Amino acid sequence: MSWDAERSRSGKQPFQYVEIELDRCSRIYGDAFTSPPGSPLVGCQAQVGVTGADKCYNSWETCQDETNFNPLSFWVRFCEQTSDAPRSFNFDVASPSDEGLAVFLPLLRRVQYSPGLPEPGESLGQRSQLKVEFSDAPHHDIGIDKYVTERAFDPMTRGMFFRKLKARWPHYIGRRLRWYQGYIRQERTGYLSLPGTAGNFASTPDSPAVSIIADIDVRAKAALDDWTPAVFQVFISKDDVSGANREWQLGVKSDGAFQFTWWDSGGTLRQVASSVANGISDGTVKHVRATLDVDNGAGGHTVQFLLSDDGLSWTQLGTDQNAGAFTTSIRDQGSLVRVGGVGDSSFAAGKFYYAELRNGIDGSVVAAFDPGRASTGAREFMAETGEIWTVNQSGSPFAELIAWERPAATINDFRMREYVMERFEGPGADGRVAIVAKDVLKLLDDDRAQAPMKSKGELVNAMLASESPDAANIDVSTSELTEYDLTGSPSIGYVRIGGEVITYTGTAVQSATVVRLTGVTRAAPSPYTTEMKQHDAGDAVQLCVYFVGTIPEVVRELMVTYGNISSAFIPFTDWETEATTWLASDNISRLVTEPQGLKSLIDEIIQETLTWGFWFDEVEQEIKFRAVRPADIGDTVVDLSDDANIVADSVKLTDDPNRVINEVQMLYGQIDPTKRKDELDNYRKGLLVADADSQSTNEIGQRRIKRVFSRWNSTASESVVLRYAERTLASRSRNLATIEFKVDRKDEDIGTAQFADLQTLYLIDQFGLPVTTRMQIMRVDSAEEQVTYRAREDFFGAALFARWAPAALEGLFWGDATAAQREQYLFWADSNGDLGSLESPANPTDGKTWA
Amino acid sequence: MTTITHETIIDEASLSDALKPRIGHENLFRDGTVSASTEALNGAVAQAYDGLTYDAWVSTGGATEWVRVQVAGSPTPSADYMAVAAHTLSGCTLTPQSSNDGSSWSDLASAFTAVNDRPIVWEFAATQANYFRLSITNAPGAVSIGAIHAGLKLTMERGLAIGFEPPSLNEDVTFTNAMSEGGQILGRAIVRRGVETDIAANNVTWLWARDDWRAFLDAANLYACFFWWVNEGRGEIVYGGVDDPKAAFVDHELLRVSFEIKGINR
Repeated sequence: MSWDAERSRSGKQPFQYVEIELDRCSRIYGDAFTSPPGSPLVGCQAQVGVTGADKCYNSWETCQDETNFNPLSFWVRFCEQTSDAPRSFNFDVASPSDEGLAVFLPLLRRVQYSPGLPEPGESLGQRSQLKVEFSDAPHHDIGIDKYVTERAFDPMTRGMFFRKLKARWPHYIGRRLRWYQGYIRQERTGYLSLPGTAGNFASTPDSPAVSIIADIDVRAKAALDDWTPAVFQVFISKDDVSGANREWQLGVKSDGAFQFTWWDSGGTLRQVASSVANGISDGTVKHVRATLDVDNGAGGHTVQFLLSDDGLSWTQLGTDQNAGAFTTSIRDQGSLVRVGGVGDSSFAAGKFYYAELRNGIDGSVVAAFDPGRASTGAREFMAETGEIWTVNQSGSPFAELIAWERPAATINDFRMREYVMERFEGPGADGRVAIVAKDVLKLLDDDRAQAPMKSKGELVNAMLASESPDAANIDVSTSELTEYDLTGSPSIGYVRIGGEVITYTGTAVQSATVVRLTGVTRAAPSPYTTEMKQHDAGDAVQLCVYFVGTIPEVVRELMVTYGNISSAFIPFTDWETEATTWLASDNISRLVTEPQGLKSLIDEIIQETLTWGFWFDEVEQEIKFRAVRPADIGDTVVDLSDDANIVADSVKLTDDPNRVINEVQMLYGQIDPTKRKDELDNYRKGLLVADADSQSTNEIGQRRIKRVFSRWNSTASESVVLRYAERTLASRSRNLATIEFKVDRKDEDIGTAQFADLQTLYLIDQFGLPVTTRMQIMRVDSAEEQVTYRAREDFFGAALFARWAPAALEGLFWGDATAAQREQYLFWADSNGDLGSLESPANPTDGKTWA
Repeated sequence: MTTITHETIIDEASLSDALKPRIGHENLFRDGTVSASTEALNGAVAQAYDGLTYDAWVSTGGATEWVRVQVAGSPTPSADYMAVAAHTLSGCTLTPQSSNDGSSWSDLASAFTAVNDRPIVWEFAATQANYFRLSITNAPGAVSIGAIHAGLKLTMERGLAIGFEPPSLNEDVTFTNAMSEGGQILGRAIVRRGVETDIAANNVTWLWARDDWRAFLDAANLYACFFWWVNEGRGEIVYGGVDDPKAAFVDHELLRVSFEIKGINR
């Protein structure tokens, strides 16, 4: 089973857990002193009585040898307070290289989730936030404290879990918090208990499916009371013994060797045994298996015996066996298939957890004895493969089927989201604790990351408002000699002193506190201009950053280089595809001359370009990028309707008149990058585009103006700016509907920025009929089993659109294009109105003619 | 010697005061030296009796296992019940046993094969011994026990008061049901499952309340306990924490005692 299968099941049992990351030192207290005498000390050099009164808790806060502190991620897991929490769970699958508690602590009270909300065309929007509430409780420190058995006190009687945790690991800010949503299942298991006496076995009737006459593969999972039984015992057979109804059997001999016996189509008995004994301890559960390859391709047949602990990974018992140098077969006589014996003898004593018969080696399962499908004491049950199994009982004790169910889950039943911890709240008098965490874009907040970083340097000598006396070099006093170093190619750097930007091409260290900027030109890079001014010794010398590139390139540099966000979160190829497809690889550029918050920088890019948004997809653990665009060919557009999907009484329909814009005023081509953004005379170009219909009294009847001071668009971006203005108007000049509704988790198939065709009685046409409306998803709140969507009417609607093909397809004729190309790109006719492959009226090929 | 589970009671006839509820708050495993046949990584035996159900003793997977406690004291401690909860002993054959030397063991109840992971209680005649253990045979793999008790049970002086809500019929299960705007059923989900029930007994004596009830409250302030009750071949067993204990006179010499128990019965 899996997340996808479980979420659609009625009677599903949601289960969630949260794990928080601690930096726990991998070392053992004082392990350096276990080094052999005379060798260098390696590891922790703390000593009780020397570095501290007691051993540490392997946290930085309690560390007594900070030099050798070696932190690893250690995960503490909390689950809901339900009695159905799985009693064993393999956490290692999620974080194989990390350590963590082996059990859930059932202290999780609830998870309050506030999903992210991009603000298309405006800003990064709201960060998704998680507030996880816990109960505090005593804890024995087992699994947390490596030295719990050495402490002179009982941790259960000292403090509460979270209070102790916070005292030991106070540095939690920025550490990860993972939220797992998923399901637990009631997993059924069982066995058939066999006493080893006559008449006690399970059986299923003969059928064409189980009448295998060629390659065969038989398997059983059993715990025999005695794996070297005094009398031969059979695991599984198709052997009535009486008359000619004898086909095959697999059993174990008194010496512990396995034996496979079959009767060929001529009725001749064939028999082989494993070359070695099984070596299994009495009572131990083991998977056993035999395969018969009736024709091994070398004129013979091959029998293999195999053993396994899990039924998946098999080890051969001994060597290949055969009954002679001939090919063989199995006769079909109509015997029952039996588990635990043959017709009148060889009854097994022990427990049978499973048995199966496969047609062909590793072939399809044609009979599967699985007691977990029955109830305790059942005499009959139907297998997954459809046959009926009967438990045959005789005497006392007798064959008895025992089955049970227990909550179970695997990591595949869960969906993980990752955040960074922001703060603890509590614990308070009510014994409750809350942890607030946010998505990784929080790292871009203006108070956390800036570009460029604040420089430390100051002018050593005063400068005149002219290039003399020393135009080529500027000496800067700084505590960080490398901060002005140039990287990349060409090697050109820019600094800002006062309101002047200066270009330089190299650095040379002059002393321990002075670095010289060489190759200086007292001018900003084109197209910017700044005025040469007089500067005093001690004036700040601020390094500038000149960003030039596509939107994905610039934003990635901001996030990774300056925001310290892992590049693993950035699916850059996807970003580039989005930009190439929908933004024609528009280039943006800006010389940033003073430290500015990253969020502000990226918000500006979103406001000045056709960027729909950047947001963090917590499930896919990726920062997504989307252009303002309709659903692409190949995009999934989900149908959602009142009848099949939308939860009753969940629809809320609103307008968002504050978003309406019917006039765009755009100023671009900034002149002096050191001046304020909103200085009207500091831009070389301007553009005004208005939607007269929208402004008319028949529609909005008002001007709704958006004025953009665009620092990221240069004068070379005229066509880009025009496209921006026109598409902004197209998308915002109408009062588009915003709708909120809920669907069951089974229908949670779309995410932020994706599209859905919505059919609801709340969206109707002028005749009162429901009209299918294409909506773009703005926000997904999936904290509960009923998922809340907020969506906005898509201004493109479901109308057809066309787009320019990439340059590589220039000159492609309609007749030569593939179906996919015809669907995706715009073609136009020649002057004769023909779209033929030869652009000739005589060869219209597909018959497409411009009307 | 009686084995009590939710599904069946073996040898119910041997129970004395069968209709009176019992409380298992005393636990020799907490007081003695506990060991186990094997211990898996992260499955220390201490986790079987620490009163927490979310961690457990875990075996390494042998077919035959045991958990035992060695007790000391004068007089030699006694037990008349053993109980397990939060376990994965389904399919195992279980036998509570006692010993005076740690090597020769006597069965305190008949061997019993667990058919699910719900709590199990064994009642037997009060037995003085230096060792008590739960013998586990025919284990189908690694098994675990989150809570194990042995000791002298508290039998309530009176039967349960009218209005008792059997936990198995009143599980604290929270559901969500989703219906579409168009009237179709979109699914049903079990949100949470647990047990919470009120236990009360009328007309208990002052003496019983001051001695037996008081001792129970002292233990319950610190640890979870077992509560069980049998009726016509079925048991009701809860392992949980006690809330809101009360004792009030209902006339000039008899009291009504009550408490709420929150825990697990699965």
